[in-house]
Amino acid sequence: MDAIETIGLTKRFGKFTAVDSLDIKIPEGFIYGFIGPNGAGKTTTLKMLCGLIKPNHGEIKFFDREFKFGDLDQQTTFGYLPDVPGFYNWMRPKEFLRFSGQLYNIEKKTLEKRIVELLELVGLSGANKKIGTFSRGMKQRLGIAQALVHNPKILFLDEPVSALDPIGRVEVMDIIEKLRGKTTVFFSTHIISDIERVCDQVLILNNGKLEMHDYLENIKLKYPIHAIQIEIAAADVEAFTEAVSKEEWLGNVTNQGEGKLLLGFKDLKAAQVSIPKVLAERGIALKKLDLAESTLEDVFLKVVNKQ
Amino acid sequence: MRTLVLIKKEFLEIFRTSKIYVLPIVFLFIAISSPVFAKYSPDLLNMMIKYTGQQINIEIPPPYFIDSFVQLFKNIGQMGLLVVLFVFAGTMVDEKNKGTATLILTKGVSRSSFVMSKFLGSTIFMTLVYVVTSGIFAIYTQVLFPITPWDRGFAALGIVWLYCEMVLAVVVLCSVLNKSYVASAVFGLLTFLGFSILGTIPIIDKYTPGHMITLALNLFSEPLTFVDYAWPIGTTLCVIILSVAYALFSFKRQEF
Repeated sequence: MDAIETIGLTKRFGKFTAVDSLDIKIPEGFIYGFIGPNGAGKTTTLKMLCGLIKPNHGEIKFFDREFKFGDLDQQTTFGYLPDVPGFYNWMRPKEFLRFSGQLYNIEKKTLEKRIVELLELVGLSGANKKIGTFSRGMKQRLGIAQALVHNPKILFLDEPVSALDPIGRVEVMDIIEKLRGKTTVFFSTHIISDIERVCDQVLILNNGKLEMHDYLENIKLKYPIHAIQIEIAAADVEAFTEAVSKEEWLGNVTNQGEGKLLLGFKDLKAAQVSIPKVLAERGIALKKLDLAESTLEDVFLKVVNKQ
Repeated sequence: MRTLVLIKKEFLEIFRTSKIYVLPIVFLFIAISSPVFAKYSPDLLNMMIKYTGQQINIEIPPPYFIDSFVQLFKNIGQMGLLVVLFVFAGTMVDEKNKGTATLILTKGVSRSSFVMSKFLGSTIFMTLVYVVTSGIFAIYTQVLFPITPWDRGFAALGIVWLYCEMVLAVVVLCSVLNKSYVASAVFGLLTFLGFSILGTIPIIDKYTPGHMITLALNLFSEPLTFVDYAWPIGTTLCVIILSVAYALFSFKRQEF
């Protein structure tokens, strides 16, 4: 069963279409990374999924049950952490979690036990000062705890690490990692390395449209080779660049110095046939030829820039 | 149930922040100073005239219990209104701007519960402050003016409480409609300026909420008919109901 499904989900702000006919199906139990450049529509999508923004068109379903703007029952299915979570600065972490739990009508004993577990999970067991004195990292970790207080089946996190220092980032990513298999985690980010570290599947959003949705390994397989790297004599670089510049298969050329060139391509096979020919015609000796494997970042840039 | 949890949180917030000091201190000052000032202002005025050595013959009437109420209601209508605006203008704006509304509204809390908890929490707090400070006012007035007719006195206090409640309802509405504290406070202030102006226009003044304080004072001096009460109280109740209803309507459609 799909934990989350959207059908033709659309949100417009005036004439601007922030999310355009988004169709996604998210099976239960995995960690999903939702990436896209700034303004791609990630936050708008998450806010629609949480009922904070009303879609112009489309449907949202959680476990095959439709979720509409203003539907309160379905809100217990998920927990949500916004990019900058707001807390009552005068409260202490336990108090805030207790308040959050009471809003879900959780029975007192169960709630107290859950609070202890959650504070341990997010590493705030010893923190008993007012939330107003917390660092951003601590607030983010408390934010995850409040989103999990009712033991939701789905956890939505909007850029949970974007404002954190490297230590805070690692701490939050560790918490997300611990949720694997227990909760369906759907988090947006623009930090590719975090996606590669914890996510099972990746969704790439660009200009409000879903460009790609697949397992991390499959995505890399779709674009296995990112570029061709060749090494020739430094003196031959100009002649070679001039010769290949007319080739139709060529994408962009990056001169890495000392005779090393990184050749982007539109057609790998054509490039593999053409390069030795160009080298032979010009009498240029090849020192080295290598196929550069794609990272998720390369794929992301390729998809977003439609290279 | 959720509304109760939210109201409880409202109270905790009031007790843990400066709200617990501002409203009670200002209302306490008004409650104590009004009867004292009413009682001793003629004496003070006479002393001032003597001190300056001026030969002016001013007939200052002896103080009367009604002066205590005049002072009280005048102060509530000005200072009280401003402090209610100042304390409650951020009621909803703060929740929206700080992002706490986002967290609460994704926890199965209805938007109506959220707004109502704000309105009810503020009402209970303001009423508690009003009742306690009215009690203190009553004690001071009774001591200084032993022949005060308290049946009419309490009715007058009740009418002014309703006026304060209307101020609160409008302030909560302003806080729902606006995105900043300043805009909310200014919007509220302009609304009451509007009510005050309406209350000065002959023919229609008796039918507006701006007439409530005059009505409270008229209780002591004139025999009033049902119509005299019904119009200002009716329009005040209408403003309260419409403000809350529109706050609920608007908040249900807002996006975060």
